[in-house]
Amino acid sequence: MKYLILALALALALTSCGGKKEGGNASDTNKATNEATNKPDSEFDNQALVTGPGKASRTVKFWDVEYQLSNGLDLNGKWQGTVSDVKGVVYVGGQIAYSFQSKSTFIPSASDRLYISGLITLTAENGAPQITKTDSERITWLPESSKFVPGWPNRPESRGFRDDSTPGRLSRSKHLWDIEWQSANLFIKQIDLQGKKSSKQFGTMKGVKGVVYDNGQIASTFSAELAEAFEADDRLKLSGKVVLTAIEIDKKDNSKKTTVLKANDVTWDPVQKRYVASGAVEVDGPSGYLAPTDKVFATSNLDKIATSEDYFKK
Amino acid sequence: MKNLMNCLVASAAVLALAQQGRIVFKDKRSDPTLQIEGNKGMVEPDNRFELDGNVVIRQPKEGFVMTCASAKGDLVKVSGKDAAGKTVSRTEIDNVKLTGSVKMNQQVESGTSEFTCASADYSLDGALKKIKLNGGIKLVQKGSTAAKQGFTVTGSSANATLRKKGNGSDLSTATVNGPIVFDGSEVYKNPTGTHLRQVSAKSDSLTYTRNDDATAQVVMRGNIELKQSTAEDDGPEIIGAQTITFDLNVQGNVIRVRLSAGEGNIKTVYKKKGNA
Repeated sequence: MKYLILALALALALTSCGGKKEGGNASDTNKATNEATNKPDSEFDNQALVTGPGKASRTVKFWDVEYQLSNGLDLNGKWQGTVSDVKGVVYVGGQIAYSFQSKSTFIPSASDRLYISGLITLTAENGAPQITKTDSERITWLPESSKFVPGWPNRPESRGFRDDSTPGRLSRSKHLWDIEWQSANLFIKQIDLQGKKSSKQFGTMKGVKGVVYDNGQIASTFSAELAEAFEADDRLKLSGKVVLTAIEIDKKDNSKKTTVLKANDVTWDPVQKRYVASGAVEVDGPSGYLAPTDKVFATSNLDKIATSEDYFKK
Repeated sequence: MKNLMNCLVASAAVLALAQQGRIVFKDKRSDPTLQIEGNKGMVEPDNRFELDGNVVIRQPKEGFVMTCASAKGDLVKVSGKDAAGKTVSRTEIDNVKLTGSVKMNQQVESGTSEFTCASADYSLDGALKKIKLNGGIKLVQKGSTAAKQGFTVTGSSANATLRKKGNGSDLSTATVNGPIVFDGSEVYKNPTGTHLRQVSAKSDSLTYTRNDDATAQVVMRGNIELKQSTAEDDGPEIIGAQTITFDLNVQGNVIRVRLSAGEGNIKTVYKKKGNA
């Protein structure tokens, strides 16, 4: 039976638990550690087997930029403004997809887009599709659809500024989820992304608990018997006595409002920001009770429940 | 016999699957004041909902049920004090648009109000439930005991209000647009005692107003036709009146009929049952 599980884990080469370091530099590192040996995963040999308790987190990077001059200010905890003489990279699926240079780039605080202009050069990396037409004076990087578009769609107005002639660098990333497990059949594999060392894990975690983030804030917590993490789209699949808990603080009286979703299986999709729960799904909280049903879709903080994805598009 | 059993088991399985897939939301897990459900849909508790397929909306404590094919509405949280002075909150439907084979049923101690139509808008306005009905509407008002109590009105569209009273809500007012058909029971006396006879009327419009003492008035206007019949005779048919006013007792039965001629002439035709 043990060999069967190991074989299955190996067969699930697409599933992984690759956490990435938040913020900062362009390298792709992994925050997972194994408490049995207390070694960071980078010290493991290729295809090492981890079986003890451990934890990991998943962060997706959007872009890094280096600049010579900046002109902007902090808005709601995020910097917004224009940087000049820019070199940067944008990421797709955790890998650098394009590098670029431009005369200036506007960085909004409300989104993770890049509004690029002036003497633009674009280079596709790691097998990303080549962009043949780069002579537009204005292009925008849309991380939500992983592509450049001409012009500056929905570029916010500049509000206030502070000149700074000191060169610097900025990056944007998003914390997706944290997970802890009691035991695991995880294989940690060193990989080489065109000169950049990285590592990936794949397999199954048992006795898990963790946190799901939405826009940098804790949206809900979870516990389950089993978990699998998917490399391709950062999904997290939980199964067996899954319990999701969302806590909302009432601003009027600081009281806590706790909503709990129980199901046999739940998948968190960080791209759509949606839980997909199936098998005896039940939601209970101070705002109401959803009787057991087969399958529902839910927002990260469980404040919207629907039987179909279509109800989120309206 | 075996085939019948197999059939029954299969039917039960299909029914169970159909029930299992439904979305059912209650404002509280036990003893809810609001329950909404459908074959598919979306609920944002305290905010809004959309439901499709065999939609049922219940307010169990108020004896109010709405059914339809699709519903889209807003929810509102209402706070108040219970008997012990403790603050309690409940979810109510602020407004909802119902479409497809709409049926609303309000049960109270004194009887039942039932509306059916093609589509309806329901909204809560303080102690009033406001209902706008469209397309082939039918209003049935029944007393709580005898079978021949109450009346039925059919029309093309209507506006109605239900006023909260006790645990439920009584039909308070209704304005119905025609062509109208009113069918009710009229109390009449003859030497053998007090009896009920059928009263049927047609008109262009109708208004219903309930009085504080639970009696009511129905006023019908335009192109009036009135027919009163018993088991023994079809008698009299009245045409040409400008308005008819029915006074209703607390059981919803007609106790008085008043006709207004306006500029026209009222014609009354008596016929024996079976005569041409």
